[in-house]
Amino acid sequence: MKRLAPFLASAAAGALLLLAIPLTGLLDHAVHSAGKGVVNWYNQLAARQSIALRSAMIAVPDLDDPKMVLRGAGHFQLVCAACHGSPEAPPAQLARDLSPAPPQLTSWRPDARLFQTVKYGIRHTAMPAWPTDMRDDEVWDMVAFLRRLPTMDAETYAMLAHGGAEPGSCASCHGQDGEGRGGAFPRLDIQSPQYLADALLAFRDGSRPSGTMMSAARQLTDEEIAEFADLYGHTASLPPPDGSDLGRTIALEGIVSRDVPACEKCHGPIARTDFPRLSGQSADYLRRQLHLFQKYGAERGGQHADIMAKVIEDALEEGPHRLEPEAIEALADYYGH
Amino acid sequence: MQQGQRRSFLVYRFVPLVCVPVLAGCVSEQSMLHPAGEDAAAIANLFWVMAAGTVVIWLIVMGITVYAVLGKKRPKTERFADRFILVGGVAFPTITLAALLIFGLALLPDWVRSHRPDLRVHITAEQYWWRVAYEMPDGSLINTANELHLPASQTAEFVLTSTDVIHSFWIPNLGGKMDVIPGRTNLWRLKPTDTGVYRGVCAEFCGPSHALMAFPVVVHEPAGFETWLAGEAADVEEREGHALFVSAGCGACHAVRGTSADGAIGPDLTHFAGRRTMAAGTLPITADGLQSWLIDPSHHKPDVRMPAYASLEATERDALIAYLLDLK
Repeated sequence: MKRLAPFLASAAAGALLLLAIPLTGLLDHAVHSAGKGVVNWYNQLAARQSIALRSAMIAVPDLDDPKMVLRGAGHFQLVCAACHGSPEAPPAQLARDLSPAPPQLTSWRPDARLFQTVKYGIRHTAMPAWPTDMRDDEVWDMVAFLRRLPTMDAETYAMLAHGGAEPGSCASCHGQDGEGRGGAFPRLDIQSPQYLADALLAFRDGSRPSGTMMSAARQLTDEEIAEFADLYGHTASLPPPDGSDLGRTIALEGIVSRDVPACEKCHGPIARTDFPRLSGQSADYLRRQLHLFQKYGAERGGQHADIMAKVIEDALEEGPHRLEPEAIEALADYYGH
Repeated sequence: MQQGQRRSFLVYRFVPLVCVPVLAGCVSEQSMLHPAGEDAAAIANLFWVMAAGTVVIWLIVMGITVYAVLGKKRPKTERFADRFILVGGVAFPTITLAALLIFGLALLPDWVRSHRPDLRVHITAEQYWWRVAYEMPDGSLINTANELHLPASQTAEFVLTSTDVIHSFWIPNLGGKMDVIPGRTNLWRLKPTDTGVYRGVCAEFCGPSHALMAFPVVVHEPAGFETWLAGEAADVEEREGHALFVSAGCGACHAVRGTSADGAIGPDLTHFAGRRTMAAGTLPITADGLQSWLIDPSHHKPDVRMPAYASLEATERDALIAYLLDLK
């Protein structure tokens, strides 16, 4: 023990010295001075290697679905384009003042690294993480778009990102009448104004996590929320859905042996108007929401989330599932389009 | 401050901890020592015989022990020692245990169920409540939940099954317990002798709310039971509040016979307000109890399947409660 004492003492002194370095004030906080030279190179190298290492184990899903690209494009226009620029417009002035400057996304990058970067952001830069870690599905939408971006011309970009509507408006993603642009985005026109307002409020205060909708709803005032809800919401219901037999059975009768009630009882024509309607909704959206409720229960958020949580949340993520993957598929097929 | 905390610990934790098990023996509505059924009487009888026998044997053993320690140390003969061991260590336990076995076996239910029971009740245990269905003479079933009514001095047969995990059906005042096992049907018979209100429980740990899975058991005179069953079998008509009940989705899980609410997942609520408790013995049926239950059921009953309806407007909740309290 005695012979070890000098080593222990110097180790302790070394640790204290490391702690003392920030206290001396020698580490530079300034963005501009760090923007050049060794420190910048050091940080960038560390970030690049960190992303490469951490993306090695990520399984990349199929990213060719044009609906995914469309969803990614809408969010890119709303949130990312200001710093990274787009085929339509160069970055905003504020982005040019950032240091290190946000890269123009004109070169190809591996999908898994895009995912890692978009989901977790990059330290020592202005690149933020995705606002919620519950929505990897949204991050993959973004990746599906980003991998197309380097070769995209302005015309294609404009069509994808806002389809002729005012960039950044509700219509730029959800379509002129809120009809969801062919199933890529959730339909607004089948929901009641009350439901839409509840959803926007939940997105705005972050209780319903969604990287895209939290960003979109964040700056809305109460008046704007009421106005948009009235503009897009209708209470007229669509013709009854038609689709797979399994889907119809679950929708009309539920799965009593697993305590899953019939969907129609809360989402059909007899139900309260502040419960969402499903008939005609985007199948992608339905599938994703069912997965979210199944995995996260009431944490998925929304005015009546506890009800859906009790209806389909699994006790264990790995199962047994109250709604099997086939059942979720069948329901998305039955109600969705 | 410190002292106050210590006192509050003493008052709120320690005293109840000691008193509850002791006082629990005094409650007669859930007690094997207050038999009100044939099986329970036999079990109580066995208990008292065994208790008395045990006391006698204990006194003898203690007496011998005291004698061995304090008595005069006079050597015994080898012959006496051999006999003593043979009688006290072999013959006495063998005879006593054999007698107990015969006594116990004689108490086992009559396995040959030759006669038809007077009443059949189908009971399905689910986490954490009891689905109860009375079999009518024509074979049809009258659904209700979380409360059992029985006629006195008639044999009731219970058809027991579970939809999820193993539960156990036990009404201590009426008889022994029987496991309720998913995937199989167990039959169990009870014959209440005394009218009164007792308490049945789940007697096999089944999850976080196992202790909140009880049901009142009301034993009527046979005529009173018939009247009750006829009332229970009657439908109710759609009345004020029904539209709200259905549009809020209550009908997806709960049935109110005679209305469009036909859910088969949760307890049947047809004559809900006529029951003594709600949520399987968890809360009394009052406006306050319902209010608190609708706002946060999991607070009263962890892991319960019932969702919280805190998201409804307060006025709507009040209207729903009025509707439920009207389901007599």
